[in-house]
Amino acid sequence: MLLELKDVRKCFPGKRRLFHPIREDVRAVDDVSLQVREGENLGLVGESGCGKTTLARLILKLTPMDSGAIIFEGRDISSLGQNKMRPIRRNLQMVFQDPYSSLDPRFTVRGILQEAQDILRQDSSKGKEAQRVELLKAVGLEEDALNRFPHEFSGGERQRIAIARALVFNPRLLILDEAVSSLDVLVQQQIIDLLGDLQKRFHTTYLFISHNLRIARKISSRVAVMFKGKIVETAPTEELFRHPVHPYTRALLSAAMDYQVASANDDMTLERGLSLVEKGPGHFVYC
Amino acid sequence: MLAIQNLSIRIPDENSGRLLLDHVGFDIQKEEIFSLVGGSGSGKTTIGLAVLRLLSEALKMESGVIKFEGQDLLGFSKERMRALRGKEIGMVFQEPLHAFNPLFRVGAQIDEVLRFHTALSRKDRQERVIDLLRQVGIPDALRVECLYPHQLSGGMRQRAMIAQAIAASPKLLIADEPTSNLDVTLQAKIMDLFRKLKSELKISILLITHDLGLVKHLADKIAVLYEGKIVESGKIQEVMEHPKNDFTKLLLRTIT
Amino acid sequence: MTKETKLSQEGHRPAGGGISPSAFRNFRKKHAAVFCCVVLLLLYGSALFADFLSPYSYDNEDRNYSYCPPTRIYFTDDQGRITAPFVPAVQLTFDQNHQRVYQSDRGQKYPVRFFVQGDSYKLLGLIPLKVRLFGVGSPGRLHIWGADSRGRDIFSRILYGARVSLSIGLIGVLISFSIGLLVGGIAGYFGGKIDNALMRLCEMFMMVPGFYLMLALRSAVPDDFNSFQVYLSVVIILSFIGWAGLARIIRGMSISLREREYVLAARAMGLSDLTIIRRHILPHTLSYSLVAVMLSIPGYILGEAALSLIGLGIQDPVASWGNMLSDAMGIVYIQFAPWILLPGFFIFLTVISFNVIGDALRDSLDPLLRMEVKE
Repeated sequence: MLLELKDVRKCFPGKRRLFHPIREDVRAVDDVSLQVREGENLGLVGESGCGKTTLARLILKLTPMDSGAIIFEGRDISSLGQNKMRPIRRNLQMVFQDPYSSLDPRFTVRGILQEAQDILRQDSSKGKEAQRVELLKAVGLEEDALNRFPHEFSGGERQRIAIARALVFNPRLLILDEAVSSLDVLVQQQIIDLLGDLQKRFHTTYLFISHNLRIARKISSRVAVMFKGKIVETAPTEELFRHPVHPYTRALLSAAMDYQVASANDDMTLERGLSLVEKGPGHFVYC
Repeated sequence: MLAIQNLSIRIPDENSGRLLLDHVGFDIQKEEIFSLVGGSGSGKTTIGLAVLRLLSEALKMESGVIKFEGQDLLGFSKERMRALRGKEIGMVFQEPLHAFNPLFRVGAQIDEVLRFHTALSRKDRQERVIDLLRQVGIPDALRVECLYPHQLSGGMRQRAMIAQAIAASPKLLIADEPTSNLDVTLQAKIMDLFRKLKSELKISILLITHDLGLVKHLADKIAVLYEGKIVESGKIQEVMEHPKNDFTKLLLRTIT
Repeated sequence: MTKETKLSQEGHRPAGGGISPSAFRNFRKKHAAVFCCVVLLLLYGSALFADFLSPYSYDNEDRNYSYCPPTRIYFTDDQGRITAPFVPAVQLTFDQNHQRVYQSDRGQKYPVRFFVQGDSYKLLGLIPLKVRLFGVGSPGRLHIWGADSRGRDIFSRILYGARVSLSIGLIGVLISFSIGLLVGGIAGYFGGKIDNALMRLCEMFMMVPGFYLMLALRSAVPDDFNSFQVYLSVVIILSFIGWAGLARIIRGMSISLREREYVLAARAMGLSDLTIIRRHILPHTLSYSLVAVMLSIPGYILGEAALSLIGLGIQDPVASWGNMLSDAMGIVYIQFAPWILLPGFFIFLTVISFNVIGDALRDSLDPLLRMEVKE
């Protein structure tokens, strides 16, 4: 078991103002439990506002958790401080959504990769340059990219650089938070293909977060559907697509695959207090 | 209704410049949803802007004819173009937050279109604004009308923008990536709305997008744009089932 | 270049917050600013080589030449023949109103020469030299811009004064900006209690009117400080006042910058907070900071001038433009010896130049201050 989340919760306090009715706390991540096994890519899908990005940040300890446990490589990292997390971060990396702001525009590509390498504290500088070139080639960029700045590249190319940066660490788990969502469909396909190749080579497992079901389907072994902070259904990919059970999953699939509005539900509500029940082999539904 | 022939637009640079559009041509009939598909940089947004003559001055139109209902748009004076925009041809942009002025309420901005293009009285305009918002699928239009753009959710903003675009009952709606920034369920709703626009309001739509999946379920005809050239076009069924061009095949692969 | 299909368009988006080559191009086009750059370079250059360029040391006084008007250099002798430039002997007399009148006697000539031996000095503080660019042999005196009440050459003192006035501006600004950047960066990045505490500290400094704070701090300086120590105290006092305003603005920028994804990525990699602030946040405030620096240097120069004017800054005999102006406090002096005001003109020139350059910098950097544009 590479990553396990147990009842992870994160609430954002509701705004309280004088003379206004009290707004409830927003449960961005509502007692979420998840498992990612090594070699088994997990696709986390859901629409905007469902809490998936918050969840990603919780896993990386970029935001503090309210309650719950995060167990990475068998070790409970829930309450580790910055210093203790540092060595762990090497195996847990992330590629962010926006290719236009995830790379510092003042750094050259070389500088960006170098920063990551310096954290690893390798010794020979000759080895470092060679590694940089190799990583760039692995993501499909040429050596001369090293001297250039992020703004000289297109969105897809920048994501490749971001992936290369994450690969410096050779992480065991790579979280991709909407990493392809802002690219056009052809580039998306290219990046997905690239990720597939890299997985074979670097033996990384992916946690692929997206609102785009089609894309998630291409790269995930398992899919978990998130809605209003809760995981409402999780199953092996094809099983989910063929036999969705939870009404939200069905609405999502119908919209994503057939572009049909399943029901006039702008406000499908989520009942609290239910739990994940196994409805089939490896297929859990919140009901 | 809209006939484009031989349109070539060049963007000048230090050398001779790059051709954004290379002898592009297609026709859109009445009550038809015509989709223009291509990747980023293929020139698809440029065509939409070219029809409404909203292109930047830096771009040079080398050749081409754009006819709307038989009349040559390129020969129109500025006043006639202004009268045309919104009234005959409406446009919906990709990023609703940019299309609306953040300082004014949504209702007021739709009202502005009506004031410019129609002779309706103030009361009639108000009714029409509410009506429009309801038509695009915003049920509590009375509340939404008074809100500022940033107070609306993404989906509602997009719908409000469509409301603004169809306010003066145009015959043609140009939609440039109308759903790129939206969730899947919202996307489905907007597509439903477009179907309604076509069948009930008899509006033709030029749908510009990079998502073939969207197109498959919505459009009647398709033209595939690659590096400024139309590499394939025809009825949706035809092109989807029997693609001839390699690029089209590549695009189709993304929606399997 | 890449294996990616040619669909992608190469964007030329401005680097957010940094300074790119196009900024320099824009700046070069603003001719007024370029001219001011040249002016400042000349001023600072003259200050650096003040010893060599000036005929006299700053404390070389001769009461016989008190309030002497600018010495006229003659190119023809009393017979009208052209000769090498010379300066006549000058005699101080008083007319019936007890005003000073200087009568010159062309008969006695003192030739103006270049590379003369003058008061000794150390070039750049190291090499002892005596040669000066131009001058006249004693007992003649050459005051090309006149002399002050004690007969000290104004031209020389302006050059020496430039050292004090111009350097105080630079050093003071450097100190306050370092403090301001650090405080602002930290406050904005960490937020919460740290932010609160630091901002309240800023506000305390901003609360007290600058000039009074300056006076108060100055009065705390011991009397027996020598002139160099006084100089340092003045610099430190000035920088104490200036940092708070910048800190607040940098803090605001820091708050928005810390949300950028590359900051998040740096945190995800495990970089320490201070490293992130130093490497990823503060450099993006550079374009703003640079403009702010340019526009506040005049404040420091004027601050020193004000202090020295009222006798609390640089003390006599060390020259500073401010204390030279204290000689000019009185309409009588201005009426009869207007050259006394020249230091004021130089203060004006410097301040205007910094302001023009600052404005031009801001204009040429402005489009780059905006965030990157999305495709």
